Amino acid sequence: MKKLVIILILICLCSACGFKDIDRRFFVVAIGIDKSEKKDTKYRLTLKLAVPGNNIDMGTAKFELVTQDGNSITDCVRLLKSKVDKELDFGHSKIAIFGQSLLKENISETTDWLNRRRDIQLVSWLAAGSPSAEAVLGTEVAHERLPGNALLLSFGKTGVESGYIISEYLFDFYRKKKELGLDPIIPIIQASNKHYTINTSLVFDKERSKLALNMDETRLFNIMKGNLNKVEIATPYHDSKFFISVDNLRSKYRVYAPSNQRPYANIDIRMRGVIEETFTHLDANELAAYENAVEKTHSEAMSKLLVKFQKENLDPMGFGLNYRAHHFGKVEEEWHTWQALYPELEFHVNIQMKLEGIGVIK
Amino acid sequence: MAMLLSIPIGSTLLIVFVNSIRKFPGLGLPEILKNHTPNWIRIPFMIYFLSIWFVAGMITVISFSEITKKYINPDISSMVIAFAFICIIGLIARLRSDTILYSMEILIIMNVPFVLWVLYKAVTNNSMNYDACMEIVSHIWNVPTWDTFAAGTYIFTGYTNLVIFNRLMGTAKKMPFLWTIPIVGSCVLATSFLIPVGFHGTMNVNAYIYPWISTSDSMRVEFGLVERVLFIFMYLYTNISLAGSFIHWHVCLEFVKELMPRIKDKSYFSWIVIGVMGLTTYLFSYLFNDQTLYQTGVYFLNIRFASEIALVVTMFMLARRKKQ
Repeated sequence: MKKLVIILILICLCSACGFKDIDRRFFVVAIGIDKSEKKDTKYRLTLKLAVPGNNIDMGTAKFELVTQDGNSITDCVRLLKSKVDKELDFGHSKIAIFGQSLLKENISETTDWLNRRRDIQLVSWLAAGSPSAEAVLGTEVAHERLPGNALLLSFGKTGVESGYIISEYLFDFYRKKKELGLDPIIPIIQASNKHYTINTSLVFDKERSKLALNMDETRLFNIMKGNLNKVEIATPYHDSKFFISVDNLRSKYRVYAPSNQRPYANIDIRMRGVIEETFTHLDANELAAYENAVEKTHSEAMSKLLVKFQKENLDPMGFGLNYRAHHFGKVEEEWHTWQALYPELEFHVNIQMKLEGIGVIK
Repeated sequence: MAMLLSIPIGSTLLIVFVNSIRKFPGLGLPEILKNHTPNWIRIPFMIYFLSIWFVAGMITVISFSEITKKYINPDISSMVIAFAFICIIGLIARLRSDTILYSMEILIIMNVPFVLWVLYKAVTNNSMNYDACMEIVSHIWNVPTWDTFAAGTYIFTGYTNLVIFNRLMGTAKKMPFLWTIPIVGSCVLATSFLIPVGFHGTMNVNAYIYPWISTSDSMRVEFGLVERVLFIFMYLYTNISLAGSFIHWHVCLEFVKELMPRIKDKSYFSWIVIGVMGLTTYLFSYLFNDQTLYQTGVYFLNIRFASEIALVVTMFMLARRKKQ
């Protein structure tokens, strides 16, 4: 009898939950936020909604794009809800894209919504969309199996591994926005007719986008940061060129501030790889010379990029944080000394290239 | 600094307490007090400590019903979740002491491998920034506050439940493997403090209300059972915390039983006590919001630390008196 009563009470609990069935929800797979073109509104929100299909073959991914202008993102969502017939579910949204024009303004208001909502994954990717987030989300990729999946596979290392792609999580961006001595950097997705191109990136100061990196700079940054395992690098050699496929890459850096000389940063990069293509005759006995050529050209190029960051007073590598980590003192004091130090900083990029061979032909 | 100091302080309290209570093999604190102190000390003392134990369980239940509502089912009222938790905890808390210990053991064995897996995934994660951890460690000389001490020593506070469970600990004078607890405790303290810093940075880790939940949400395991570690973590976190709260409530219940010895063996007695505890918790869960709950938690930790010291000192003095 007693047990029955307890079971009855527990059954009563089940009726009270407000769970909505899966066929009464729209799953948002990507969120795009642009600057509104209308005068009296601030944002233009684009949501990519997955349309469920009964088979998951290549090219069957269907989606619906809904957009709304509004003065806040909450406003946009609220108005959007009156346009669709099912409840919007943000729990499966794995990417958020900002229009490039929006990023030139102060972004803290814009990202607040993403971080404050409890149901948006902190592990969703962030990217800038060019020409606009809406255009990126509207791109139909012919081979896509699940709606929005092509974009997701580009990031992280699950799908393609490209030296040009920088992956940035939402929580990571949020952290870097506040952290002293580490600045955010996000990839730019360019939408063209039937596919995406992701090979450039944007560096932020704490408030807005400051510097756009081109393809080569993005790749060099990725190598220095040690984000990659695989990358292809080109090296000029005696008026000609050869190309290396790197399959093992490690990088570390450390800032030193000795008392009687200029502060410097050591960046140590170790790479292993094989030669993939050449425009000139290569000799297997001269690997050491080729290694030297790689080390020399790349350390110069990387130093140049680092000086570029330094001139803009940007620090996407995290040298400032590294300095703070190795010095005792109050946070404000450390930060002030670092700000005085950073323009003086010298960069010593040491690359150790290990070539395993010149490929399978002589 | 507070962390570093709380390890020796917590361990000292632990060792002193355990060694003192081992002088009374097979007896719980209520019996010891009955034998060695007059009634006018014993009764207020026990009422005070049973309320501390009750509040410990209560705060856990309320905060977990809030968390469950936030992260698992936002469409449900947190009162319903609180009610479900109270039912389960209440049912377990009124079981016999040894049954409770066995169920605790099963829970631990089931959860620890997953906990270790989550920790492993966290420290090997690419997003884990060790510079940020080092930066925090480099501020080790900051002056500690009472709040941080209270929070730091809470890791070690499980031993106080021996006030009841000492009844089951047999007659051996020494507690085996006592030395492992400070080591495990310091590891737990270091990881639970440094991993969120490594993920959210030195500046931003304060921005999160539940740093560890947000940290587990920041981990993605592409080829795992569930891609988002958040849900696995929520399961573990809820499990272990609720285990803690049924232990607390059980201790509370046993204290009440000793206060009312005449009716303690009646079958309805424990139901009534549990019912009162559940009802109070249910009412409080209606009154708290995020902020007040957090504040209450901080106050509770501070008071607990003070009372824990008082408890250990009392126990120590009782043990000395017995020897003489």
